[in-house]
Amino acid sequence: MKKNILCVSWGNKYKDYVEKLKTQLDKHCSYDFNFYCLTDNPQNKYDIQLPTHWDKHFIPKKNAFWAYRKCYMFYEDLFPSIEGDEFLFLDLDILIHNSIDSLFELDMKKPWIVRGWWNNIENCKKNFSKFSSTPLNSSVIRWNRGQLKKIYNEINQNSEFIFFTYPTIDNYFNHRWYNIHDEESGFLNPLPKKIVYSWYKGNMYPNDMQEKVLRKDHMICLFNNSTKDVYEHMHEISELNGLY
Amino acid sequence: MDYIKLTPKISHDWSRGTHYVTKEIPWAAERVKFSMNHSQLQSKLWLGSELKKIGDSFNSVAVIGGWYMHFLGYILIDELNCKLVCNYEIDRDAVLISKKFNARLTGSKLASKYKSYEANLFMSDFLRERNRGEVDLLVNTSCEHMYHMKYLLDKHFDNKPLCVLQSTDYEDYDDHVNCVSSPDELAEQAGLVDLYYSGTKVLENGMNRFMVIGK
Repeated sequence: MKKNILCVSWGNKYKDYVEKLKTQLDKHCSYDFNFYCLTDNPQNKYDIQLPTHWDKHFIPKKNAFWAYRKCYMFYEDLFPSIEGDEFLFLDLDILIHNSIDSLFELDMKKPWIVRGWWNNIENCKKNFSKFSSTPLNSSVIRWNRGQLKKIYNEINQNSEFIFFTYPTIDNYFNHRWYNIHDEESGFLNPLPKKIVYSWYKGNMYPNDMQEKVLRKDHMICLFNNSTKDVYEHMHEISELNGLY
Repeated sequence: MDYIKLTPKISHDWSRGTHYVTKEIPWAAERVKFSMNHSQLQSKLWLGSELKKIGDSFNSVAVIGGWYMHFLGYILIDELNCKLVCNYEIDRDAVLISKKFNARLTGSKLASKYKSYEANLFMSDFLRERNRGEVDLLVNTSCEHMYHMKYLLDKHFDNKPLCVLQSTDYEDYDDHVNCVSSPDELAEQAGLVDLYYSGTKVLENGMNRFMVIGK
């Protein structure tokens, strides 16, 4: 059965990056895979219409970065045209440097998410109840069919409360589906070190924290930052290094 | 209620509580220090004074987001003689630390007057089981940090218990996600219709604190 690699796109601003992501995947994934973009405006053959039933609970001014639309994909039955059981989600603002095949070779007893190893975990614990400093990042998520349905269900049943309370999707995952005090025991598994790093935040706290450094031995670079220059930076780096 | 009677037992608990934080949960030390400041004590003593005029000796008290519960645990149990106080916190560290500050009140399982649980009652269903039946008092002194209390009350109660709620209009902290402009708005957010007390206090830190007591 083919593997499924998904991204989510809404609005037109970053639409070009869907194709760029697909190009990177063609280069760095040797498995046979289906590529899908869940979008509010389907135009290409890989596009699938995103549902909208949570829009009524979303408060744009309050939760500017709540990427709640990602969570529709956790209930795969909403997208009957997607077959197969293995799923990998990738954000559009990433650069892939090396083969991602190993993401399809993980032990799948539990789903996987990016653990931002650049975070000081004590700071995350200190700020837990203040809903800041989450150690998780949802730019890369690996799961098998049905494994994340619980998360979809919880959001679906508590949308009003969840969208009001949690400032970001990563914060929500950290509070409800991760164990910050015993990181191996949560519902979500943290991806190991030396796979994903951050262009703006570094790699591993405290000894490898240099920002804006390409780490070519890693798999994926995230551009997790609220700056408006993210895509310009991504473009410069990829051009310089022939990553696309 | 103008002060806390610092008995040897309370002194012992609070000394051990702060030692525990320093040794086991050092990242929480700053927050614990903040929780013991002038304004924190002012607002809890205010709660004790006004609640005492309305009632005491409550059988089963649910505290939402009680944090470290040193002052509030003392006021509800030592001063107002409440039989059981359960603190529901989303932060595991706060649960553990609050148990240390209230160790004198946590005897054997059935005799315990103070319990603390890691739970988010806006989504969790276990309030009645943990509170050993009907709750007759619900306290939330941090409404500015969470969603409207009506949502929680509707989820857990057919008949509302007496509620004591505090909040503020101070919006400059990121985690003040639900400030209100007045005690009236606080009561309205919680769906309280019978108000026994409603007031505003300017705390030592200059912030307005609102409090309502009602059903």
